[in-house]
Amino acid sequence: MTAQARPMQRRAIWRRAYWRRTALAAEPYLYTLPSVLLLCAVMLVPLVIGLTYAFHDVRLLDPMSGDFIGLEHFRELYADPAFWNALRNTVTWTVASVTLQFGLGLILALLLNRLFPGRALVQLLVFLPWAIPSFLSGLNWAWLFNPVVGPLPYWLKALGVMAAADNLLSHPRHALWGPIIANVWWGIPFFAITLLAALQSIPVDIYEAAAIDGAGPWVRFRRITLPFLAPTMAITILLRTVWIANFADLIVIMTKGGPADSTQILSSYIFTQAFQRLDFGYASAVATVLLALLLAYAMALMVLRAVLMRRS
Amino acid sequence: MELHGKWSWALHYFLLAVFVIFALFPLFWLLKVSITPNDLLYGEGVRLWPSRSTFEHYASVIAHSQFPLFFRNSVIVAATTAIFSTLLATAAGYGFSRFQFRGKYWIVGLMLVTQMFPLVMIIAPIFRLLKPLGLTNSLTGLVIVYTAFNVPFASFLMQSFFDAIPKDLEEAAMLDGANRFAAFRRIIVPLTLPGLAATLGFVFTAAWSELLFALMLNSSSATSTFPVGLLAFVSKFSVDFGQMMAAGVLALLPVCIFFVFIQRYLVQGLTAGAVKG
Amino acid sequence: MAAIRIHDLCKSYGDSEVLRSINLDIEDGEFVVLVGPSGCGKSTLLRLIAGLEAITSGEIRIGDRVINDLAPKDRDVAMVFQSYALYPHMTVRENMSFSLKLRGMSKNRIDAAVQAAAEKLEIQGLMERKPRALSGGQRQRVAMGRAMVREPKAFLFDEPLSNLDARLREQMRYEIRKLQRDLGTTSIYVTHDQIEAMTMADRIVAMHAGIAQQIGTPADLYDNPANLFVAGFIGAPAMNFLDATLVPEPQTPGNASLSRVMVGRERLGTIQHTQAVRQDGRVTVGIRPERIVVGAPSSSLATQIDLLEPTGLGTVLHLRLAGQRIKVFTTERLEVGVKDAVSIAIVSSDLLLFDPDSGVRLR
Repeated sequence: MTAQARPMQRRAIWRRAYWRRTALAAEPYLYTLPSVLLLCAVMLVPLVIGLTYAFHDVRLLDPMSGDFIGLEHFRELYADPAFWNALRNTVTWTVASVTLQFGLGLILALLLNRLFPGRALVQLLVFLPWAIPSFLSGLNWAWLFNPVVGPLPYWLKALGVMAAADNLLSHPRHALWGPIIANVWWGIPFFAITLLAALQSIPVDIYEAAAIDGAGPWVRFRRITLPFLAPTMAITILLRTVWIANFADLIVIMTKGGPADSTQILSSYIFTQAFQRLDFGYASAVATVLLALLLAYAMALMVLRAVLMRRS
Repeated sequence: MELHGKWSWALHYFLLAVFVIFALFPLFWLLKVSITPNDLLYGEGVRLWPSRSTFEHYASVIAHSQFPLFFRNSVIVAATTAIFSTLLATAAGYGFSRFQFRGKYWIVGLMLVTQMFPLVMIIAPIFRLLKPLGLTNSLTGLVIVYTAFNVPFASFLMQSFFDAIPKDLEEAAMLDGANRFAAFRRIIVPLTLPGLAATLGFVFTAAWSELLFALMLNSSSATSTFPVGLLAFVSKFSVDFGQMMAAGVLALLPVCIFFVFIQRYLVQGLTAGAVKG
Repeated sequence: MAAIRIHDLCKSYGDSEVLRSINLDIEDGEFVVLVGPSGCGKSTLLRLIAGLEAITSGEIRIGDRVINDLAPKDRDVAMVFQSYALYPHMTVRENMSFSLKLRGMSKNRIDAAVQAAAEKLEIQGLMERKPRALSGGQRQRVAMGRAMVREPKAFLFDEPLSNLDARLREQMRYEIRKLQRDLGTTSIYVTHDQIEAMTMADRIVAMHAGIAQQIGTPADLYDNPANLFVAGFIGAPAMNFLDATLVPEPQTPGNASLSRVMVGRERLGTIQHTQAVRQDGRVTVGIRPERIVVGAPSSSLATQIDLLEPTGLGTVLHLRLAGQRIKVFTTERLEVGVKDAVSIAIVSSDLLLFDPDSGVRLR
């Protein structure tokens, strides 16, 4: 190798090394980029646009609309009793749904955690509601509550829960329970599957050691099962809470938010404003408030988590 | 967990029976009304099984209504969404599983955020964005929107399946003479067939059941999907319960069949995802 | 088949240095073993050679080519993984043919090559099975077969015997080494087991904390360890290390010093050394258990037995000498029990001196 050739060779080697290093660094982006682009286009951009609608008068039926109106929508919603009602309902809806889904799901998971003949079949049957599309679940339960074709009004009357055999869904005070029950029916399998998976990951040795040490079943449940489940439970519940708070389908189908907006939750209210009144501006304003509440919830969780972690 | 004693087993089976009945009763009722002839519908309302059964409701739904069209639309949208979502999610999931890179937390964060905010928020902007592009009243528009909605969850699902495959296998393949993409295609992907099946199933089910966006973006019955069609049918013929229930049973069939086959993998998938938190 | 030259190789992950300035020249056809405890960097070094990790600085050559920036598939090396990494969805035959298919070889040539390798490894009967239907030893052989068919420039072994039981390991050690000798392929073998290193290597690279502590033949490392780490790592039972003091004896002619090695008030022996010792005379003295003679005449050291470990071949005696523990390995059958007094003798030339702080061998 002459003294002149060597620098050229070295540059060629360096260039090849540079390209290979760049290609290696770019690899992960190539795999993830298509998804990212799609998400930005279909979800991020509309999100930003949606936020701007909250400050504009945007009505689909009125081609002249679109002016900037500042905080007008927010003042409107502050004075809107339907909005506050929807807010209250969102809390009721979320708390009731999550509590029942989780509690019953846990019981089901515990039942399925024991080996018994026919377990596979039973598992398939109890998880079936989850496969049912939510709109169908909503319709199905709406029909069950309908005294014309459904048995529930008669049974509820027979049990003394209702005075007469009418449709639960037409009573403004109690109508929300219709969708809640449908939601619980539909949602138990999800919790049951998650909790069952977590239960099955608890090593058997620990139970055996505890049994040898003299711990009875209730003690074993409290001291072994619950602590092991706690992390999975916590995360699942928190994520599910957000998801359920946003879940408007059942209410839209079963009651359309009625009677008289009494079963609206925030997300169904947003939908009916957008879909029925075609008032995108107002709908977006309510949506902005919902988003802010969810963010506050998420941040409260982070703070709580940090506090708990510092404590332990 | 070992519980002893006959009483505990009796309680166990009793509670299970309650759950099974609770789970199956609504579906049973749906079936029951769908085969009850119209003349018995209102009289025998609360009986557990009609005195006479008939398939006339199914016949009308299939032959005389637009349900076959709605069904077809839903199948097309759900299947296409499932395929595209799974393709994108496989790539993204692999990226998350095998690489540590600077943008990773941002991208994962983006995906998590999209799962958290209320989708109703963007229903209006998406409508206004898709309308000038001619993608409202269109199956294509729905597929695009649904794919975006499902990609994050599908990606995390695929990631957990990829995580279960040891990295040695790609390394062995890369030494054998494959570049990473070839190793991915020929070695890793064939090993995640259960994961692919689970993801396809999840996305298909999610797309099949989606209501609000289908309702919003669609005003023509030619491009209605099943949920929209069923809902319109319900409000139009609010008295013909027999036919509605028959339509409902028909709507159930694809997802139930899917579910029976992939139930095992669904549990596996959620296990992998959920236990990881 | 080619020589491998590693020059000034360093690897860091962020701020943590995993490999520091490794220099190693491996001859064509040589079987070199990288041995050391977990975390010493031996697997990292292997992976750098394979191309599975990027080099921070330094150079690796195979043959005459600098391979620093070549993709693994272009380096023409084959690796046998600790977990074997057999493709689970392919039969043994397909596993072994995969690399040749990627190269575009004709089917006939592939079949011939696979058949030849299978015969050599005696796995002809397993060709249509999937990996999950194979035992650990069989999978090991298939992994080797997969590497062999490629006729690569070098074999890289990443602790291939760790997942096998002791009996099988002994058997496979022999087979791997014999195979490598027949094929004559340059091989780099990583293990944490010093027995594998001693019995299989042409040369050993003893590694610790990212540094090659000593490179040499097994005999070199056994007889002439460069520092405390190598002395203690090589050989089983492990070398005894005692805290001792060097007391200078009257000078002999020449540059060497003569010192008595004292453990407490016991005199272990007299040793000649050219290197200077610490002012306070503190040293760590090493003596191999198998070098100590038991039951010697009266002018030897008095000890008391703490524990006996019969191994069949011999017995390991755990003794107490001047308050410190010392192990002796003897093949004699002795009529002794715990708490018995026993006398031992040490030949001075068997004593090795080490600096008590740096661990460096003092000569």
